[in-house]
Amino acid sequence: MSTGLAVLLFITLIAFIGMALSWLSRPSGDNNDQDTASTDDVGTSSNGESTRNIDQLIETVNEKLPQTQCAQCGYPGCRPYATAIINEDVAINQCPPGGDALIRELATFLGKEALPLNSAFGENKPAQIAIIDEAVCIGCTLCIAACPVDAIVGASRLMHTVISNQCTGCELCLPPCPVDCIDLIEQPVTLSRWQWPKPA
Amino acid sequence: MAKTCMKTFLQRLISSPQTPALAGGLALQRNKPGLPVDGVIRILAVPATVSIPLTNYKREILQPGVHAGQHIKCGDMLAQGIVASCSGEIIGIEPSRIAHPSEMSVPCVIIKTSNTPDADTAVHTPLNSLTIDRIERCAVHGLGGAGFVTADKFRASGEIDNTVETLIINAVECEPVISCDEALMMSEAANLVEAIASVVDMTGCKRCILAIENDKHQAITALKEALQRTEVTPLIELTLLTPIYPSGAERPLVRRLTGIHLTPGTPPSSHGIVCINIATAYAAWQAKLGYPMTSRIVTVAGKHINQAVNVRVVFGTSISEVLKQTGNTPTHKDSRVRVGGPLSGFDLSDLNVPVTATTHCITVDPVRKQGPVLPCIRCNACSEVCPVDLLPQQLHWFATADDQQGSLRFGLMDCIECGCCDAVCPSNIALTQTFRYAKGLHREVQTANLAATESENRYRCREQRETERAAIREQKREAARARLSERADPIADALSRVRGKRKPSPDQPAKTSEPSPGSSMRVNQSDDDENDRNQSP
Amino acid sequence: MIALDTQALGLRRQTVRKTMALVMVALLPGTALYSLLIDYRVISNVVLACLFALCCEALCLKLRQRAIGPALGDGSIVLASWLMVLCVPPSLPLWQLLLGVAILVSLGKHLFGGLGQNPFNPAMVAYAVLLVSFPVTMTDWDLGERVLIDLRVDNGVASSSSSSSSSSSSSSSSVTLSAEQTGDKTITDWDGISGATVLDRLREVKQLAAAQSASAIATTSARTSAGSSASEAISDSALKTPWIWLNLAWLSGGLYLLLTRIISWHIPVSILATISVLYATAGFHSIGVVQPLIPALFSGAIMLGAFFIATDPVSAAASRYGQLLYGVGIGTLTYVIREFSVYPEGIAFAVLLMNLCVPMIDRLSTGKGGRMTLRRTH
Repeated sequence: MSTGLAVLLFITLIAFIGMALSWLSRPSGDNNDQDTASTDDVGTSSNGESTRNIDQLIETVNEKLPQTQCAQCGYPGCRPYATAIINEDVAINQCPPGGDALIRELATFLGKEALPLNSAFGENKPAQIAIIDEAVCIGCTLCIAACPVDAIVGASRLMHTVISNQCTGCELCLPPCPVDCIDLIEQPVTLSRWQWPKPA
Repeated sequence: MAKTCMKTFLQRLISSPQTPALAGGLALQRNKPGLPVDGVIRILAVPATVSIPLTNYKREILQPGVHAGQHIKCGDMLAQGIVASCSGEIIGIEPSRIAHPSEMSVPCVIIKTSNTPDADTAVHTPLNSLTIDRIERCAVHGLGGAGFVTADKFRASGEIDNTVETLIINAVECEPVISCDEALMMSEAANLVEAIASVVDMTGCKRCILAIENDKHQAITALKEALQRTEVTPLIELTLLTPIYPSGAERPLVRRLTGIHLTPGTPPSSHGIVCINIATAYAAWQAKLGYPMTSRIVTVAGKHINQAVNVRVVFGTSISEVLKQTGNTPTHKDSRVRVGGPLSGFDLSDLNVPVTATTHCITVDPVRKQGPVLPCIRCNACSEVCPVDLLPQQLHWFATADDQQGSLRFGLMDCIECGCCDAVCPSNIALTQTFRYAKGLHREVQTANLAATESENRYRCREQRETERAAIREQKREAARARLSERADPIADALSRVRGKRKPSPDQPAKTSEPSPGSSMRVNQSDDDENDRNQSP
Repeated sequence: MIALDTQALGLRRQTVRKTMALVMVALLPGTALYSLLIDYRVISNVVLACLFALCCEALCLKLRQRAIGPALGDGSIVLASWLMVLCVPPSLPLWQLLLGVAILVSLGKHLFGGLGQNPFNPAMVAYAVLLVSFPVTMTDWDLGERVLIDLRVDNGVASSSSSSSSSSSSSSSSVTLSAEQTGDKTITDWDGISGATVLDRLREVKQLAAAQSASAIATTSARTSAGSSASEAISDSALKTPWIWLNLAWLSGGLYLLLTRIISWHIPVSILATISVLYATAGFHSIGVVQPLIPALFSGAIMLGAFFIATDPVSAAASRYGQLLYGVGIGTLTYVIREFSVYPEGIAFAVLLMNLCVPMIDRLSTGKGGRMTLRRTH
């Protein structure tokens, strides 16, 4: 009889500790993730609410994408790709500039599996910028039209040049150039961008 | 063991509001051998050439306002916030290495110095009371090791709620191996008190605290005497602190003196606190008298030093020059020359780098073999000594795994990179370096996010513009089609229109659609006439 | 080149090897006493186990393709196997001991990633596996003839101090017990008694004392006298064993570790305090009075566990607050397992169970934003 009581006490003790610990470690309000869109529930109709939620989802996914607007994913820009991910359940591993880090983030956010980057859509390259060889440029403005973020300045028969800190390295300006004067270089490390290396 | 227990017990016993305590930190020995503690400051002769880097506190490259060949005088503005430290002729503006762990080169103004002794002549007119503009004009930067623009510090505090509540004068040395501030206090205590008084007058602060370690007896005596002879309102509170490293760092110091926890998001100015180094206060006072900030005191110390000394060095003097003139050129084969102390400094591989406002100390020490790096055994020694209450053990796990969220949750950005955790880790893990790397990664991600937002904005603008243009084009096409459908014989009308425009002469062949040199070639920029022209045969 | 030059500070720095060495130094007096008082075979067991552990570790490192030299040189596996040997009976067959060591090295340490990665105390993992796999040999504590004689004498003393009417019956009951088990042989003819440490003995004595007080004349004075005499009996029986001295040796080793700042006081003090409180307040259920604390604390492996086993930094809680919680948990579980389960010694399983809780404890006991709490100031 006392043994039974003892066993019961023991189980109760462990159960109590477990419940106390799990209650104390319940998820708290602070959220360090900047990308999570806040969900306000100011809604009028249920249809309006669901659209707003979908919009917020698309917005959140769009914020995670690297915004190179390179169209390597098969969609004409990052927002169309985000829309396709949410609305059409397109695979999340089609963005080469985002790389595996992006896939992992999207996988965590959407609850999907983190597949490796689909190499059919391109490979993940380090940060690069385009640079125009002014001596060869003929001023045809074809690259200006092609740049999705207006990072090239110039006018017809006048010099063209890339604004380095606006260039996303999307490579869309390379094919239209008739004289092949645009090169891609790795983004140069200046003093203000220098960071301490990882210890071995 | 018993002695340390007794000492800690006694220290805690005598701990009072006058000697506030610090949680964590290391009680480091002041390196008596190789540390100049005599209070003598040698003035170093101005070298033949000085090299002033054109970078600011944020490490951005600045545009020079001068050019090669120009003759300049001491105190002339070379770029935004940078003044010439001596008179002479600019022989070039070219990339040159700077004293920075990256060992990168930035554009520097190379000045061939003239022999005029201009250190004694005031460049500007002396003022009755100090102003922030004068501090800015004299390019006063923080001399405590961080090199922040002092004028901006005062301005920031003034902007928040128009007042500076507390002024903290930091006379605590950055590291035990440094004694430049101590030498200044021992030799010019009276001037320093006047300097502090002028800063107090300028800020109109309610409280002024002068913090100093309690083992700098000569400096304390000198300051006490000077304070007794001066009338300042509010009273300058001389606070003695137990010499725990890193009391000289801003955040632990502010916490120790006022109990306020600062984070990177809440700078001291948001609490109405301004914390400046005592040498910076001196430089501000000199600015009031009309002298720009052109030099600083540098401690030359270390085990491989022939003669440890404090020297006043003009900015732009190369470190090799400093060592040569003080007779300390490294002769040992395995010496490491460091800017700063063992914990907060960095090594130099090239000694031809110029001294700037942040070069407070040059140490020459032997290269010691580091033990092997073992895995973390969770002994918690690092958490015990962290002065900002972090858990370096947890940070290490997350930072090594490149887990941004985990690192941030444990306060990665609050790390002040003091090196205390490194010093006590039994596994020899390079903790501080890992945190520096992780912070850099976080900053990179932040910068990338900002750039991405910018790119998206530009993309959206472009899309909008293209849509609008397409709409306008479509509108015009519709209008033209409507016009076209109203005509009876559109082809005959078009032909007559074209003939009416051209005036064919006998020697000139009928023009095709080749454009004249002056007209612009339209590719996708829409133009009203294009549609009409395209319809011509 | 960019690294911090921490050696220029001239700080007397602790290394992993030094830590392990100091802990082993602290274990020496206890081990020496163990071999003198209990069984000399513990020395050979320790030596063989440590050597075998080094071989196993070299093999594991080779399989994991890691550098062998630095890992073997830090002494952590020698310490772990030494602790394990101190927990198992010295009469354990050698092959079982070496199997335990192999489990310690592979399952206890390298499966999780080597030094610093194991969530469970490796010595306790090995002990638990051995205890469950070989229950007979792991509970075969040869207490030695001298001990038996003492116990028999104590039983006689206990029965004689109780009320006279039941004295003969209780003493005869004890004698009858032994007679039943062995078939009329006297105790001195036995080679050994099966049971884990003297705690089992203690439990029997307690049961006898309880029987005595129940069958005593129903007067409060008699009961209290029976109870107090029973507690005397327990304390006498415990104090007369060499285990007291052994635990004192562990305690002195632990105090040495505290003084040299290898471990901090939080875990040992919280474990011992919890056990003391529990024994003091709740222990009277069996015999009606408060159980004496000294025998409870100085028998079994509590001292060894509190100072050497639970303080293993890798598997224990990280922050000071957490360490206090951890110690309280271990103390509670040890008491519960000791009193209410078939196992007479609870600290091994208590440590393992609390190791499970350590990640949760760490999370709860760090301050807001993962800050350190509870620290001494300068």
